[in-house]
Amino acid sequence: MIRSFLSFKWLYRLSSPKFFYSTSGKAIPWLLLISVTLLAVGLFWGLLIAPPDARQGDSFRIIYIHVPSSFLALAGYYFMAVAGAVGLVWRTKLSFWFMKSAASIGASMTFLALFTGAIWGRPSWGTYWVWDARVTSMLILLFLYLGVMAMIRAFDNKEYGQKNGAILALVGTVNVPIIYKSVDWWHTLHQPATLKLTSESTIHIDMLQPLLVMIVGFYLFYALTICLFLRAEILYHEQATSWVKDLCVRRQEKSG
Amino acid sequence: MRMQFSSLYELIDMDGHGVFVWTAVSVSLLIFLILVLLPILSHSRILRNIELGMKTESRSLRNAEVKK
Amino acid sequence: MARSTFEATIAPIVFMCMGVSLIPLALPPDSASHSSIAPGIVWIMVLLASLMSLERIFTFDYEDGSLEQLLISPQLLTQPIFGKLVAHWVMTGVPMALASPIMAFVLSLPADGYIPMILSIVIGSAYLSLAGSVCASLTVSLGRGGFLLPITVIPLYMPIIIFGTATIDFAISGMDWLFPLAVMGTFLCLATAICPIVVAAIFRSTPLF
Repeated sequence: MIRSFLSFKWLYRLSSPKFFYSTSGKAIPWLLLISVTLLAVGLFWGLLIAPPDARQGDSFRIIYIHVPSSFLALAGYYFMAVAGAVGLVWRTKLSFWFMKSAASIGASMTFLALFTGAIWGRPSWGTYWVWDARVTSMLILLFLYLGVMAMIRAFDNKEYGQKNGAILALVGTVNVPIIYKSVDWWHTLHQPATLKLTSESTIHIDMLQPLLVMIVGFYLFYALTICLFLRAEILYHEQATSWVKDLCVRRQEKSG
Repeated sequence: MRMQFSSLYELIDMDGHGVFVWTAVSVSLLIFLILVLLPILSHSRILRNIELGMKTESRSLRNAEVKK
Repeated sequence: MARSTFEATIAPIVFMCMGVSLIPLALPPDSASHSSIAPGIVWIMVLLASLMSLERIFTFDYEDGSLEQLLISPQLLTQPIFGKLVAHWVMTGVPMALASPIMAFVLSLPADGYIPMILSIVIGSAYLSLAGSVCASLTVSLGRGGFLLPITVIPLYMPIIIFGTATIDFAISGMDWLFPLAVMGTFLCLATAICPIVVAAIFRSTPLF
Protein backbone atom coordinates (compact mmCIF):
# COMPACT_ATOMS: atom_id res chain seq x y z
CA MET A 1 0.00 0.00 0.00
CA ILE A 2 2.64 2.51 1.09
CA ARG A 3 5.02 1.43 -1.62
CA SER A 4 2.42 1.87 -4.32
CA PHE A 5 1.66 5.28 -2.87
CA LEU A 6 5.31 6.29 -2.97
CA SER A 7 5.82 5.06 -6.51
CA PHE A 8 3.71 8.00 -7.77
CA LYS A 9 1.67 5.64 -9.93
CA TRP A 10 -1.48 7.22 -8.52
CA LEU A 11 -0.18 10.60 -9.68
CA TYR A 12 0.37 9.36 -13.21
CA ARG A 13 -3.09 7.88 -13.26
CA LEU A 14 -4.60 11.07 -11.90
CA SER A 15 -2.92 13.06 -14.66
CA SER A 16 -4.92 11.19 -17.27
CA PRO A 17 -7.90 13.41 -18.17
CA LYS A 18 -10.35 10.51 -18.31
CA PHE A 19 -9.40 9.18 -14.88
CA PHE A 20 -9.48 12.63 -13.34
CA TYR A 21 -12.87 13.34 -14.90
CA SER A 22 -14.51 10.25 -13.41
CA THR A 23 -12.75 10.53 -10.02
CA SER A 24 -13.57 14.19 -9.56
CA GLY A 25 -17.17 13.47 -10.52
CA LYS A 26 -17.42 11.23 -7.47
CA ALA A 27 -15.58 13.70 -5.22
CA ILE A 28 -17.58 16.82 -6.12
CA PRO A 29 -20.76 16.09 -4.06
CA TRP A 30 -18.64 15.40 -0.98
CA LEU A 31 -16.49 18.48 -1.50
CA LEU A 32 -19.61 20.59 -1.98
CA LEU A 33 -21.25 19.20 1.15
CA ILE A 34 -18.21 19.56 3.41
CA SER A 35 -17.08 22.96 2.17
CA VAL A 36 -20.55 24.52 2.32
CA THR A 37 -21.06 23.10 5.82
CA LEU A 38 -17.69 24.42 7.01
CA LEU A 39 -18.27 27.84 5.44
CA ALA A 40 -21.75 28.07 6.97
CA VAL A 41 -20.52 26.99 10.41
CA GLY A 42 -17.51 29.32 10.21
CA LEU A 43 -19.58 32.30 9.12
CA PHE A 44 -22.24 31.69 11.79
CA TRP A 45 -19.59 31.24 14.46
CA GLY A 46 -17.54 34.21 13.33
CA LEU A 47 -20.35 36.64 12.72
CA LEU A 48 -22.65 35.76 15.61
CA ILE A 49 -20.74 34.02 18.39
CA ALA A 50 -17.12 35.25 18.35
CA PRO A 51 -16.53 38.20 20.70
CA PRO A 52 -16.08 41.66 19.14
CA ASP A 53 -12.58 43.10 18.87
CA ALA A 54 -11.60 45.46 21.68
CA ARG A 55 -10.45 48.24 19.34
CA GLN A 56 -12.26 47.65 16.07
CA GLY A 57 -15.61 46.49 17.43
CA ASP A 58 -17.74 44.41 15.12
CA SER A 59 -16.06 45.52 11.88
CA PHE A 60 -13.25 43.05 12.60
CA ARG A 61 -15.65 40.25 11.60
CA ILE A 62 -14.67 40.89 7.98
CA ILE A 63 -11.47 39.02 8.93
CA TYR A 64 -13.38 35.76 8.46
CA ILE A 65 -13.52 36.40 4.71
CA HIS A 66 -10.53 38.64 4.23
CA VAL A 67 -7.83 36.40 5.71
CA PRO A 68 -8.88 33.09 4.09
CA SER A 69 -9.27 34.71 0.67
CA SER A 70 -5.84 36.37 0.97
CA PHE A 71 -4.36 32.98 1.95
CA LEU A 72 -5.83 31.39 -1.14
CA ALA A 73 -4.87 34.29 -3.38
CA LEU A 74 -1.21 33.72 -2.49
CA ALA A 75 -1.29 29.92 -2.24
CA GLY A 76 -3.29 29.78 -5.46
CA TYR A 77 -0.49 31.52 -7.29
CA TYR A 78 1.90 28.78 -6.20
CA PHE A 79 -0.58 26.08 -7.23
CA MET A 80 -0.87 27.73 -10.63
CA ALA A 81 2.89 28.16 -11.12
CA VAL A 82 3.68 24.60 -9.97
CA ALA A 83 1.03 23.21 -12.31
CA GLY A 84 2.56 25.23 -15.13
CA ALA A 85 6.04 23.91 -14.31
CA VAL A 86 4.77 20.32 -14.20
CA GLY A 87 3.13 20.87 -17.56
CA LEU A 88 6.32 22.28 -19.06
CA VAL A 89 8.50 19.44 -17.75
CA TRP A 90 6.26 16.38 -18.15
CA ARG A 91 4.05 17.80 -20.93
CA THR A 92 0.85 16.68 -19.22
CA LYS A 93 -2.16 18.40 -20.75
CA LEU A 94 -4.10 18.24 -17.52
CA SER A 95 -1.65 20.44 -15.64
CA PHE A 96 -1.98 23.22 -18.20
CA TRP A 97 -5.75 23.09 -17.80
CA PHE A 98 -5.28 23.11 -14.04
CA MET A 99 -3.15 26.20 -14.45
CA LYS A 100 -5.82 27.91 -16.53
CA SER A 101 -8.52 27.11 -13.95
CA ALA A 102 -6.29 28.16 -11.05
CA ALA A 103 -5.63 31.50 -12.77
CA SER A 104 -9.34 32.36 -12.97
CA ILE A 105 -10.09 31.22 -9.42
CA GLY A 106 -6.97 32.87 -8.00
CA ALA A 107 -7.84 36.15 -9.66
CA SER A 108 -11.31 36.07 -8.10
CA MET A 109 -9.83 35.26 -4.69
CA THR A 110 -7.38 38.16 -5.01
CA PHE A 111 -10.21 40.46 -6.01
CA LEU A 112 -12.21 39.26 -3.01
CA ALA A 113 -9.28 39.88 -0.67
CA LEU A 114 -8.80 43.39 -2.05
CA PHE A 115 -12.51 44.16 -1.95
CA THR A 116 -13.08 42.99 1.62
CA GLY A 117 -9.86 44.75 2.61
CA ALA A 118 -11.11 48.00 1.13
CA ILE A 119 -14.44 47.67 2.96
CA TRP A 120 -12.65 46.85 6.20
CA GLY A 121 -10.38 49.87 5.67
CA ARG A 122 -13.32 52.27 5.81
CA PRO A 123 -14.24 51.81 9.50
CA SER A 124 -10.72 51.05 10.76
CA TRP A 125 -8.47 53.36 8.67
CA GLY A 126 -11.08 55.90 7.67
CA THR A 127 -10.65 55.34 3.94
CA TYR A 128 -11.49 52.68 1.39
CA TRP A 129 -8.19 52.63 -0.42
CA VAL A 130 -4.66 53.15 0.91
CA TRP A 131 -1.43 52.81 -1.08
CA ASP A 132 0.00 50.67 1.66
CA ALA A 133 2.66 48.05 0.90
CA ARG A 134 0.43 45.02 1.40
CA VAL A 135 -2.53 46.46 -0.51
CA THR A 136 -0.37 47.60 -3.41
CA SER A 137 1.45 44.30 -3.65
CA MET A 138 -1.86 42.41 -3.63
CA LEU A 139 -2.97 44.63 -6.51
CA ILE A 140 0.23 43.63 -8.33
CA LEU A 141 -0.70 40.00 -7.64
CA LEU A 142 -4.05 40.62 -9.30
CA PHE A 143 -2.22 42.06 -12.33
CA LEU A 144 0.02 38.99 -12.41
CA TYR A 145 -3.04 36.74 -12.49
CA LEU A 146 -4.66 38.87 -15.19
CA GLY A 147 -1.43 38.82 -17.21
CA VAL A 148 -1.30 35.02 -17.08
CA MET A 149 -4.98 34.76 -18.01
CA ALA A 150 -4.51 37.15 -20.95
CA MET A 151 -1.36 35.33 -22.08
CA ILE A 152 -3.12 31.94 -22.11
CA ARG A 153 -5.95 33.33 -24.25
CA ALA A 154 -3.88 35.59 -26.55
CA PHE A 155 -2.75 33.05 -29.13
CA ASP A 156 -4.67 31.19 -31.82
CA ASN A 157 -2.49 28.16 -31.14
CA LYS A 158 -3.86 27.03 -27.74
CA GLU A 159 -0.87 24.92 -26.74
CA TYR A 160 1.48 27.80 -27.43
CA GLY A 161 -0.65 30.09 -25.30
CA GLN A 162 -0.72 27.63 -22.40
CA LYS A 163 3.04 27.15 -22.56
CA ASN A 164 3.65 30.89 -22.60
CA GLY A 165 1.23 31.37 -19.72
CA ALA A 166 3.11 28.74 -17.70
CA ILE A 167 6.44 30.48 -18.33
CA LEU A 168 4.98 33.83 -17.31
CA ALA A 169 3.48 32.31 -14.15
CA LEU A 170 6.87 30.82 -13.23
CA VAL A 171 8.75 34.06 -13.84
CA GLY A 172 6.15 35.93 -11.78
CA THR A 173 6.84 33.81 -8.68
CA VAL A 174 9.73 36.18 -7.81
CA ASN A 175 7.08 38.58 -6.58
CA VAL A 176 5.20 36.24 -4.28
CA PRO A 177 7.75 36.24 -1.42
CA ILE A 178 7.83 40.05 -1.63
CA ILE A 179 4.04 40.22 -1.36
CA TYR A 180 4.13 37.75 1.51
CA LYS A 181 6.79 39.66 3.43
CA SER A 182 5.59 43.16 2.59
CA VAL A 183 3.86 43.69 5.94
CA ASP A 184 7.04 42.86 7.81
CA TRP A 185 9.41 44.85 5.59
CA TRP A 186 7.39 48.04 5.36
CA HIS A 187 5.75 49.14 8.57
CA THR A 188 2.78 50.83 7.00
CA LEU A 189 -0.89 50.80 7.94
CA HIS A 190 -1.65 47.13 7.38
CA GLN A 191 -1.32 45.11 10.57
CA PRO A 192 1.27 42.33 10.63
CA ALA A 193 0.18 38.76 10.05
CA THR A 194 -1.86 37.50 13.00
CA LEU A 195 -1.60 33.82 12.14
CA LYS A 196 1.80 32.21 12.35
CA LEU A 197 2.77 28.60 12.02
CA THR A 198 6.09 28.82 13.81
CA SER A 199 5.26 31.05 16.76
CA GLU A 200 2.20 31.86 18.83
CA SER A 201 -0.59 33.65 16.99
CA THR A 202 -1.47 37.11 18.23
CA ILE A 203 -5.21 36.53 17.95
CA HIS A 204 -7.48 35.44 20.79
CA ILE A 205 -8.45 31.76 20.80
CA ASP A 206 -12.21 32.51 20.61
CA MET A 207 -11.65 34.48 17.42
CA LEU A 208 -9.09 32.04 16.07
CA GLN A 209 -11.28 28.92 16.08
CA PRO A 210 -13.90 30.20 13.60
CA LEU A 211 -11.08 31.64 11.47
CA LEU A 212 -9.45 28.23 11.19
CA VAL A 213 -12.81 26.70 10.26
CA MET A 214 -13.20 29.34 7.55
CA ILE A 215 -9.67 28.75 6.21
CA VAL A 216 -10.27 25.00 5.89
CA GLY A 217 -13.64 25.73 4.31
CA PHE A 218 -12.05 28.10 1.77
CA TYR A 219 -9.41 25.51 0.86
CA LEU A 220 -12.05 22.86 0.27
CA PHE A 221 -14.14 25.30 -1.72
CA TYR A 222 -11.05 26.06 -3.79
CA ALA A 223 -10.62 22.34 -4.46
CA LEU A 224 -14.28 22.13 -5.44
CA THR A 225 -14.09 25.00 -7.92
CA ILE A 226 -10.84 23.64 -9.37
CA CYS A 227 -12.61 20.32 -9.99
CA LEU A 228 -15.59 22.06 -11.60
CA PHE A 229 -13.46 24.30 -13.85
CA LEU A 230 -11.15 21.41 -14.77
CA ARG A 231 -14.04 19.13 -15.74
CA ALA A 232 -15.34 21.77 -18.14
CA GLU A 233 -11.83 22.22 -19.58
CA ILE A 234 -11.34 18.46 -19.97
CA LEU A 235 -14.65 18.07 -21.74
CA TYR A 236 -13.87 20.98 -24.08
CA HIS A 237 -10.40 19.79 -25.03
CA GLU A 238 -11.22 16.07 -25.20
CA GLN A 239 -14.51 16.30 -27.10
CA ALA A 240 -13.10 14.47 -30.10
CA THR A 241 -11.99 11.44 -28.07
CA SER A 242 -13.93 8.22 -27.87
CA TRP A 243 -14.40 8.22 -24.09
CA VAL A 244 -16.22 11.56 -24.19
CA LYS A 245 -18.45 10.27 -26.99
CA ASP A 246 -19.17 7.11 -24.98
CA LEU A 247 -20.04 9.34 -22.04
CA CYS A 248 -22.53 11.30 -24.15
CA VAL A 249 -24.08 8.13 -25.54
CA ARG A 250 -24.54 6.74 -22.05
CA ARG A 251 -26.04 10.04 -20.90
CA GLN A 252 -28.52 10.04 -23.77
CA GLU A 253 -29.51 6.44 -23.03
CA LYS A 254 -30.04 7.32 -19.39
CA SER A 255 -32.25 10.31 -20.20
CA GLY A 256 -34.11 8.28 -22.79
CA MET B 1 -20.46 29.99 23.62
CA ARG B 2 -23.29 32.44 23.41
CA MET B 3 -24.70 34.82 20.83
CA GLN B 4 -23.23 38.31 20.80
CA PHE B 5 -26.43 39.90 19.55
CA SER B 6 -29.72 39.83 21.40
CA SER B 7 -32.00 40.97 18.58
CA LEU B 8 -32.17 40.79 14.83
CA TYR B 9 -31.79 44.56 14.56
CA GLU B 10 -28.55 44.45 16.57
CA LEU B 11 -27.27 41.68 14.34
CA ILE B 12 -27.95 43.66 11.18
CA ASP B 13 -26.67 46.95 12.60
CA MET B 14 -23.57 45.55 14.39
CA ASP B 15 -22.86 48.81 16.24
CA GLY B 16 -22.96 50.77 12.99
CA HIS B 17 -20.47 48.45 11.28
CA GLY B 18 -23.19 46.24 9.83
CA VAL B 19 -23.12 47.92 6.42
CA PHE B 20 -19.46 47.01 5.95
CA VAL B 21 -19.66 43.48 7.32
CA TRP B 22 -22.79 42.51 5.43
CA THR B 23 -21.58 44.05 2.16
CA ALA B 24 -18.37 42.04 2.43
CA VAL B 25 -20.30 38.85 3.20
CA SER B 26 -22.83 39.29 0.40
CA VAL B 27 -20.24 40.16 -2.23
CA SER B 28 -18.16 37.12 -1.32
CA LEU B 29 -21.21 34.88 -1.45
CA LEU B 30 -21.99 36.32 -4.88
CA ILE B 31 -18.46 35.61 -6.11
CA PHE B 32 -18.64 32.08 -4.69
CA LEU B 33 -21.93 31.51 -6.48
CA ILE B 34 -20.44 32.73 -9.76
CA LEU B 35 -17.37 30.52 -9.26
CA VAL B 36 -19.62 27.47 -8.89
CA LEU B 37 -22.20 28.29 -11.55
CA LEU B 38 -19.83 29.43 -14.31
CA PRO B 39 -18.05 26.06 -14.80
CA ILE B 40 -21.29 24.10 -14.37
CA LEU B 41 -23.00 26.15 -17.08
CA SER B 42 -20.08 25.88 -19.49
CA HIS B 43 -19.83 22.14 -18.73
CA SER B 44 -23.44 21.53 -19.72
CA ARG B 45 -23.12 23.83 -22.75
CA ILE B 46 -20.11 21.85 -24.02
CA LEU B 47 -21.96 18.56 -23.43
CA ARG B 48 -24.95 19.84 -25.39
CA ASN B 49 -22.69 20.94 -28.26
CA ILE B 50 -21.02 17.53 -28.39
CA GLU B 51 -24.39 15.76 -28.44
CA LEU B 52 -25.65 18.07 -31.19
CA GLY B 53 -22.52 17.35 -33.21
CA MET B 54 -23.01 13.61 -32.73
CA LYS B 55 -26.64 13.83 -33.86
CA THR B 56 -25.83 15.71 -37.08
CA GLU B 57 -22.96 13.32 -37.70
CA SER B 58 -25.15 10.22 -37.41
CA ARG B 59 -27.86 11.86 -39.53
CA SER B 60 -25.42 12.68 -42.34
CA LEU B 61 -24.08 9.13 -42.10
CA ARG B 62 -27.61 7.76 -42.47
CA ASN B 63 -28.29 10.07 -45.42
CA ALA B 64 -25.12 8.87 -47.10
CA GLU B 65 -26.27 5.27 -46.69
CA VAL B 66 -29.70 6.07 -48.15
CA LYS B 67 -28.10 7.68 -51.18
CA LYS B 68 -26.05 4.59 -51.78
CA MET C 1 20.91 50.66 -39.03
CA ALA C 2 22.92 53.54 -37.58
CA ARG C 3 19.83 55.70 -37.51
CA SER C 4 17.75 53.10 -35.68
CA THR C 5 20.41 52.59 -32.98
CA PHE C 6 20.68 56.36 -32.56
CA GLU C 7 16.92 56.48 -32.12
CA ALA C 8 16.97 53.58 -29.69
CA THR C 9 19.46 55.39 -27.46
CA ILE C 10 18.13 58.91 -27.67
CA ALA C 11 14.39 58.20 -27.58
CA PRO C 12 14.24 56.89 -23.98
CA ILE C 13 16.33 59.80 -22.70
CA VAL C 14 14.20 62.39 -24.45
CA PHE C 15 11.08 60.61 -23.21
CA MET C 16 12.44 60.62 -19.64
CA CYS C 17 13.34 64.30 -19.61
CA MET C 18 10.08 65.38 -21.22
CA GLY C 19 8.08 63.24 -18.84
CA VAL C 20 9.84 64.74 -15.84
CA SER C 21 9.11 68.26 -17.08
CA LEU C 22 5.40 67.44 -16.79
CA ILE C 23 5.63 66.55 -13.11
CA PRO C 24 6.04 70.13 -11.75
CA LEU C 25 3.09 71.17 -13.91
CA ALA C 26 0.90 68.48 -12.36
CA LEU C 27 1.92 69.03 -8.74
CA PRO C 28 1.58 72.07 -6.46
CA PRO C 29 4.54 74.42 -7.10
CA ASP C 30 6.43 73.51 -3.98
CA SER C 31 10.09 72.61 -4.38
CA ALA C 32 10.36 70.80 -1.04
CA SER C 33 7.66 68.34 -2.02
CA HIS C 34 9.54 67.60 -5.24
CA SER C 35 12.73 66.50 -3.53
CA SER C 36 10.83 64.02 -1.36
CA ILE C 37 9.12 62.39 -4.33
CA ALA C 38 12.11 62.74 -6.67
CA PRO C 39 13.39 59.13 -6.24
CA GLY C 40 10.01 57.70 -7.13
CA ILE C 41 9.56 59.94 -10.16
CA VAL C 42 13.06 59.20 -11.47
CA TRP C 43 12.41 55.48 -11.20
CA ILE C 44 8.97 55.61 -12.79
CA MET C 45 10.45 57.50 -15.73
CA VAL C 46 13.27 54.94 -16.10
CA LEU C 47 10.70 52.14 -15.98
CA LEU C 48 8.41 53.66 -18.60
CA ALA C 49 11.32 54.53 -20.89
CA SER C 50 12.69 50.99 -20.70
CA LEU C 51 9.19 49.58 -21.26
CA MET C 52 9.00 51.70 -24.41
CA SER C 53 12.27 50.32 -25.75
CA LEU C 54 11.44 46.73 -24.86
CA GLU C 55 9.66 45.89 -28.09
CA ARG C 56 12.81 46.69 -30.03
CA ILE C 57 14.79 43.77 -28.57
CA PHE C 58 13.28 41.07 -30.77
CA THR C 59 10.64 42.62 -33.04
CA PHE C 60 13.01 43.90 -35.73
CA ASP C 61 14.88 40.60 -35.82
CA TYR C 62 11.57 38.74 -35.97
CA GLU C 63 10.26 40.86 -38.82
CA ASP C 64 13.35 40.78 -41.03
CA GLY C 65 13.97 37.08 -40.44
CA SER C 66 17.32 37.27 -38.67
CA LEU C 67 15.77 35.61 -35.60
CA GLU C 68 14.90 32.64 -37.79
CA GLN C 69 18.48 32.55 -39.08
CA LEU C 70 19.66 32.51 -35.48
CA LEU C 71 17.32 29.62 -34.68
CA ILE C 72 18.42 27.39 -37.57
CA SER C 73 22.12 28.00 -37.00
CA PRO C 74 23.81 25.12 -35.19
CA GLN C 75 25.35 27.29 -32.47
CA LEU C 76 24.04 27.75 -28.97
CA LEU C 77 21.13 30.15 -28.87
CA THR C 78 21.81 31.39 -25.35
CA GLN C 79 24.98 33.30 -26.20
CA PRO C 80 23.68 35.49 -29.03
CA ILE C 81 20.57 36.22 -26.97
CA PHE C 82 22.69 37.21 -23.99
CA GLY C 83 24.71 39.39 -26.36
CA LYS C 84 21.55 41.06 -27.64
CA LEU C 85 20.39 41.75 -24.09
CA VAL C 86 23.75 43.23 -23.07
CA ALA C 87 23.65 45.40 -26.18
CA HIS C 88 20.12 46.52 -25.34
CA TRP C 89 21.21 47.44 -21.84
CA VAL C 90 24.28 49.35 -23.09
CA MET C 91 22.18 51.22 -25.64
CA THR C 92 19.26 52.14 -23.34
CA GLY C 93 19.99 51.49 -19.66
CA VAL C 94 23.46 53.01 -19.38
CA PRO C 95 22.56 56.21 -21.28
CA MET C 96 19.51 56.57 -19.04
CA ALA C 97 21.72 56.25 -15.95
CA LEU C 98 24.11 58.86 -17.35
CA ALA C 99 21.26 61.21 -18.21
CA SER C 100 19.47 60.76 -14.87
CA PRO C 101 21.41 63.57 -13.07
CA ILE C 102 19.59 66.03 -15.35
CA MET C 103 16.27 64.74 -14.03
CA ALA C 104 17.55 64.69 -10.47
CA PHE C 105 18.75 68.29 -10.83
CA VAL C 106 15.38 69.43 -12.16
CA LEU C 107 13.62 67.65 -9.28
CA SER C 108 16.12 69.16 -6.75
CA LEU C 109 17.29 65.82 -5.40
CA PRO C 110 19.72 66.27 -2.46
CA ALA C 111 23.39 65.88 -3.43
CA ASP C 112 23.80 62.65 -1.42
CA GLY C 113 21.36 60.90 -3.71
CA TYR C 114 23.20 61.29 -7.02
CA ILE C 115 25.73 58.45 -6.91
CA PRO C 116 23.29 55.89 -5.42
CA MET C 117 20.76 56.93 -8.05
CA ILE C 118 23.17 56.37 -10.94
CA LEU C 119 24.36 53.04 -9.54
CA SER C 120 20.81 51.84 -8.90
CA ILE C 121 19.73 52.77 -12.43
CA VAL C 122 22.76 51.02 -13.94
CA ILE C 123 21.97 47.80 -12.04
CA GLY C 124 18.19 48.12 -12.20
CA SER C 125 17.97 48.82 -15.93
CA ALA C 126 19.99 45.67 -16.61
CA TYR C 127 17.37 43.72 -14.65
CA LEU C 128 14.61 45.50 -16.55
CA SER C 129 16.16 44.50 -19.89
CA LEU C 130 16.58 40.89 -18.79
CA ALA C 131 13.17 40.39 -17.18
CA GLY C 132 11.49 42.32 -19.95
CA SER C 133 13.14 40.16 -22.60
CA VAL C 134 11.22 37.12 -21.30
CA CYS C 135 7.88 38.82 -21.88
CA ALA C 136 9.10 40.34 -25.14
CA SER C 137 10.00 36.89 -26.44
CA LEU C 138 6.67 35.45 -25.25
CA THR C 139 4.70 38.09 -27.14
CA VAL C 140 6.94 38.61 -30.18
CA SER C 141 4.67 36.71 -32.55
CA LEU C 142 1.71 38.92 -31.64
CA GLY C 143 3.29 41.87 -33.43
CA ARG C 144 3.98 45.41 -32.39
CA GLY C 145 1.89 47.68 -30.20
CA GLY C 146 0.09 44.92 -28.32
CA PHE C 147 -1.11 45.54 -24.80
CA LEU C 148 -0.08 42.12 -23.55
CA LEU C 149 3.59 43.11 -23.23
CA PRO C 150 3.07 46.03 -20.81
CA ILE C 151 0.53 44.23 -18.62
CA THR C 152 2.72 41.17 -18.26
CA VAL C 153 5.94 43.10 -17.74
CA ILE C 154 4.86 45.71 -15.19
CA PRO C 155 4.31 43.20 -12.34
CA LEU C 156 7.79 41.80 -12.98
CA TYR C 157 9.25 45.28 -12.55
CA MET C 158 7.83 45.57 -9.04
CA PRO C 159 10.92 44.47 -7.05
CA ILE C 160 13.14 46.87 -8.95
CA ILE C 161 10.98 49.92 -8.40
CA ILE C 162 10.73 49.06 -4.69
CA PHE C 163 14.45 48.61 -4.09
CA GLY C 164 15.53 51.24 -6.62
CA THR C 165 13.60 54.00 -4.89
CA ALA C 166 14.68 52.58 -1.52
CA THR C 167 18.35 52.97 -2.53
CA ILE C 168 17.90 56.68 -3.25
CA ASP C 169 15.63 57.21 -0.23
CA PHE C 170 18.11 55.53 2.11
CA ALA C 171 20.96 57.67 0.74
CA ILE C 172 18.98 60.90 1.20
CA SER C 173 18.02 60.07 4.78
CA GLY C 174 21.55 59.00 5.68
CA MET C 175 20.99 55.26 6.02
CA ASP C 176 23.14 52.51 4.54
CA TRP C 177 22.01 52.51 0.90
CA LEU C 178 24.22 49.56 0.00
CA PHE C 179 21.60 47.19 1.43
CA PRO C 180 18.82 47.84 -1.11
CA LEU C 181 21.46 48.09 -3.82
CA ALA C 182 22.70 44.64 -2.85
CA VAL C 183 19.17 43.27 -3.07
CA MET C 184 18.93 44.70 -6.59
CA GLY C 185 22.26 43.04 -7.36
CA THR C 186 20.80 39.73 -6.19
CA PHE C 187 17.83 40.11 -8.51
CA LEU C 188 20.20 41.01 -11.34
CA CYS C 189 22.38 37.93 -10.73
CA LEU C 190 19.35 35.66 -10.73
CA ALA C 191 17.99 37.26 -13.89
CA THR C 192 21.35 37.03 -15.64
CA ALA C 193 21.57 33.35 -14.88
CA ILE C 194 17.99 32.49 -15.80
CA CYS C 195 16.57 34.88 -18.39
CA PRO C 196 18.81 34.18 -21.44
CA ILE C 197 18.24 30.44 -21.01
CA VAL C 198 14.48 30.93 -20.65
CA VAL C 199 14.34 33.18 -23.71
CA ALA C 200 16.34 30.68 -25.75
CA ALA C 201 14.02 27.88 -24.62
CA ILE C 202 10.97 29.94 -25.55
CA PHE C 203 12.30 30.55 -29.05
CA ARG C 204 13.34 26.93 -29.45
CA SER C 205 10.13 25.32 -28.29
CA THR C 206 7.53 27.43 -30.05
CA PRO C 207 6.26 27.33 -33.64
CA LEU C 208 7.28 30.90 -34.44
CA PHE C 209 7.66 30.74 -38.16
